[in-house]
Amino acid sequence: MVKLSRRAFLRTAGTAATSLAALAAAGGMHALLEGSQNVGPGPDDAVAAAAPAQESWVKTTCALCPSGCGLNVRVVDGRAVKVEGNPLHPVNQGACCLKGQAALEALYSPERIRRPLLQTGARGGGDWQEISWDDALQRVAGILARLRAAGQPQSVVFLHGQTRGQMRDLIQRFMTAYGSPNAIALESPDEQAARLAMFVTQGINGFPVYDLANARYVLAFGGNLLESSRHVMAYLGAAALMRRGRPDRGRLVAVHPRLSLTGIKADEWVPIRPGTYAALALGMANVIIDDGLYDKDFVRDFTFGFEDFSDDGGRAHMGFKSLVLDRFGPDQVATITGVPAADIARLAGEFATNRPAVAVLPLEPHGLDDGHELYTAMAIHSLNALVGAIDSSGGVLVQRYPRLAPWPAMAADATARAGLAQPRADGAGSSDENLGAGAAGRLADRIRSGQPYPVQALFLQGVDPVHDGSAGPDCAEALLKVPFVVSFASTLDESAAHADLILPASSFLETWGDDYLEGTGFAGLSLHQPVLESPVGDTRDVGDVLLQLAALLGGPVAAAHPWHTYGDLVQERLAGADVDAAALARNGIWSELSYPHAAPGSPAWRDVVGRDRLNAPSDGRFDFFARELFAALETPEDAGCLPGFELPVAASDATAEAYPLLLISQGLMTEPAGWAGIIPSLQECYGLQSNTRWDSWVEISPTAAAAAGLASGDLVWVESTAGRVQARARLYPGLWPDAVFMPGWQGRFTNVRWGRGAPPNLQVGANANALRAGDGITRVRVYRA
Amino acid sequence: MKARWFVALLAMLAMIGGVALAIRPAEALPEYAAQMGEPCASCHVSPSGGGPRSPRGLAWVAAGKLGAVPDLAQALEVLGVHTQVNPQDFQAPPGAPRPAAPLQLKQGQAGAYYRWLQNYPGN
Repeated sequence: MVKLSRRAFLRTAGTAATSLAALAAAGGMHALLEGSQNVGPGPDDAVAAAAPAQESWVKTTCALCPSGCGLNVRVVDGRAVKVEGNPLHPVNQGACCLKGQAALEALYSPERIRRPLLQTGARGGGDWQEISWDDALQRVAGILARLRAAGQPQSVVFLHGQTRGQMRDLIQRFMTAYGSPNAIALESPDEQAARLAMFVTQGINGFPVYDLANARYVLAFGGNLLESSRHVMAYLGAAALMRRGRPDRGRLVAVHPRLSLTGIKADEWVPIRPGTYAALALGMANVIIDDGLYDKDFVRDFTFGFEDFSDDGGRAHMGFKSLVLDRFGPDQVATITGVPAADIARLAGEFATNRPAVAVLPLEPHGLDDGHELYTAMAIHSLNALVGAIDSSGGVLVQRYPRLAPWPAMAADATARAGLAQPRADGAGSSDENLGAGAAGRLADRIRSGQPYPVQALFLQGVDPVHDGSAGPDCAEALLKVPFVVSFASTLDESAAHADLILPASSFLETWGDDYLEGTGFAGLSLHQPVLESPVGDTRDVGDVLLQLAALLGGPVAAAHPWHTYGDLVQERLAGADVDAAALARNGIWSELSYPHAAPGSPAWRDVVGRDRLNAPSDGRFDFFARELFAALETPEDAGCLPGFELPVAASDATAEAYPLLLISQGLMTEPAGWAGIIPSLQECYGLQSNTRWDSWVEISPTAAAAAGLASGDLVWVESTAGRVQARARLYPGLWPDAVFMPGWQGRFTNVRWGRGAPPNLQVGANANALRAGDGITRVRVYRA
Repeated sequence: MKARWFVALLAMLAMIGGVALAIRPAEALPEYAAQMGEPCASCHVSPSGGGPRSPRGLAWVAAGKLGAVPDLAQALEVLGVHTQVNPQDFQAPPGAPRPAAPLQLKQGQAGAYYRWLQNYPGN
C-alpha cells in the first residue's frame, strides 16, 4: 500500500507526460513504454506535443451539482482557460455537461465577492464595507466565545446545503466541539424521503444507487432522471449503454405529469396526475401480487411484513399484500392517478417480467412533491423488493465508501456537553419531528417564534433559503430576527443580503478537498485541487475558515481541530488504509471499479440490508412493514408503518376553486446547484426545451390555456396564496391538463448588467419558489398580466 | 445539358458522401481498434465501442494512449484498483434462511433517530 505523502497529495498529475512518467514509476508498465508511441487525438496528447512549459491540465472534481464529475482544467500562464471531462473518472468518463463547461464563468464571475463584507447599515439595506479577514474572523470568534462563555453554545446554528467529502463531518465536528447540536443540513423533503425510505425499509442510511446499465426495465418515478438527478452524469451514461450499447436493449419508462427531456428520451412517458406516484406504485404492486408475478422466494425468505402477521404480544397486523389487494385495485388507482387501468396492468406486467427491473426514486428537490414523500418513496421502493432487485445486477445497489483514517478523538467539555443536551433548534428529535425529516424546513418558523430558544448566531453555507425555500419572505424575517448572521456566499444572494457579515467562499476550482464517488455503487474518491496558484480574490475555503475560527476560540474547540489547513485534514483522512494514494494523485480519481453483488443471506448481505438499523432487528430482511417506523412512532398503527398513499392536501383543499391549477417543478440541466450567481452561458441556453433565455416561462396545457383565454407568448401572472410572479406563457401539450410548470432556479437578483438580452432590471426571470407556501403541491391560477 | 446535371448531381453526392464519412462521433474511433489490433470491447463496455470505457480502456487513456492496450492486471495497477473483498462473503450459505425477528414495540427511543440519521456516509 502506497501511503499518501504531502508531496504525492500536492502533485499535479494532468499532462500525458506526467502520466507517462508516473506510469513508468508505477511498475509493471515498462513493457508498454518500450517502443510505444502516442496515437490519436485528445487534449493530453495535444499538450504533450506542443505544450509550452506554462501550460498544464489539472485534474479536479466539479461541485456545480451533486454528480461530482472529474474535470480536466487547462491552465495557461496561471489562468484557467478550458474545462473538459476527465476520461478516467467512472462517473462521467470524459463527458462534461454544460454546467462543467461553464465552470470558469463562475470562477471569474464579476458577481463574486472578492473579500469579506460587513453590513454597516440596516440588515438587508445593502450598505457593505470591505474588511480584512483578520478583522472578520475576530468578530465571529468574539461572538462565538461570548455565547459559549454565557452558557449558550446551543444558540448557534450552522445551516448548510450540499457538502462534499470531509466537509459535512468537519462542520458537525466543529459544532460538537463548540457545544451546539445545530449543525443542520437543509435537504429537500424529496431527498430526505429517498434516504429515509431506504432506512426504514432496507435498513440502509444512505441514498439508493440504481444499476441502470444492467437493467432491462427502468421505471423512473418523478424527478428528471436524465437532467437533474443527484447522479445525473452517471445515469446518462448508464442509460445510453442500456438502450444503445448492449445487444439486449433495455426499456426506460418515465412517470411524471410533464414530458421532460427524460420523458422525451425514454421509451415511454406515462403522464400522471400530480402527487399520485404512490397510488400508481401500489396499484402496480396489486397487479404483480394478484397475478403471482413477484419473486416469491425472495419475498418469503428476505422480507418482513408481506403477509399479515402477529407481533410478540399477539396483536394482529396488516401486511403489504393485504394493503395493496384491499385498497389499490387498478380501477381505483386509475381514478386516482388518471393512468388507465389497462396501462397500470401493462406496466406492472412489464416491470415484473422483464427482470432485472428497477423502480427509481428521484433524488432531487421537488422530485416527488406531494407532501407525503416518505410513504410515496416507500411505495416506489417496495416494487424493487417485489421483484428481488435488492443488490442485484440491474437493481438497487448500496453505495460503498472507502475506509479512511479515523478522526482523532475529541473530548467535549462541560459547556459543550450542556449545549449538546439541548433540543435542536429546528425541532428534530422532538415528538412531532422524531425522524428529523423536514424539520430543517421549519427552522425559519421556529426562529421567528423563538422556540425552543432564541437563535443568537446563524451560519449559512451553501444555502439560500430566502430564494430557494417556500415562503422566502418568512425566511428573510427569520434572518432579521437573529442578532448575528454570517454567510459564506460567493455572490450576494438573497440570504447573504440579510447577513451581518459575508465570508466569501473560494470556488471549488481554488481549493483542496475530496469527493466521495457516488452513483456507481463501488467505492472511490475524487480529488479537488486548485487549478490556480492563488484564488481569484481574497476568498477562503470554508474548511479553512472553520479551522481558523477553532484556533481563535482555543481550548477544547481548538484541540479538536489540530489541522492547520483543510488540505491537511483531507490529506490525513485520505491516508487511510483503503485508498491508493498514488493512483489518486496521478489520475485525480481512485475507485474500486467493480461492485460485487451480495447474494441474499450471504455474509455481505448484512451490509446491504439492515446494516444501519437502530431499533429494528438486522435480520437481513427488507421491511414492507417498517419495523423502524413501528419503533419510532409514538402510537404506531399499521398504516403508519406501511407504504401508503394520501391525496395531497393541495389537490382537494378549499382553494381549489379560486386556484384551479397545480404548480409542479422539475430540475433542469442548466441549473447549477451550489451556485447562486448568474452564469451567462447557462442563461443563454437555460430553457433547452422552451428555447427560453435569461428568463422564466410558465408552461400550461392547451386545455387550461383555452379556458383562460391565453396563447403562447402572453405575459401572465401566476398567483398562489403566497404571492404572484410574472412570466411568459408557453402552451405545452406534454403537460397534465390541470398542471402548471415553472422552472425553479430563476428569479435571482444580480447587480451586474450582463447585456446580450439580459432584462434591464436586476432580477433574471421569476422565482417560482415565491409561490410555495409549504411542502408539496401548490395551487395557482394563471391570468393575463 | 442532361449530362451536366448528371455530373453536378454526382459531384454533390460525392461531396455529401465525403462529408458523411468525415464526420464521426468523437468517441467512436474504430481506427484505435485497428491500430491496437484489438476489438472495441477491449476498451469499451459496449461490444460495439463508444460510451463508457472498460478498466483496460481507462488505463490505456491514463497511460497516454500508448502503443498497446494494457492487460487487465496492468490496468488495475495503473488505476489503483485493489479490492479487499472476499468473494465467499458474497455467496449465499447453504441451508434455510434465518427466520424473521418478531415485531417488538420500542417506544420512547425516538429521540436518537435524528442524530443517527444525520451521520450517513458519503457527500
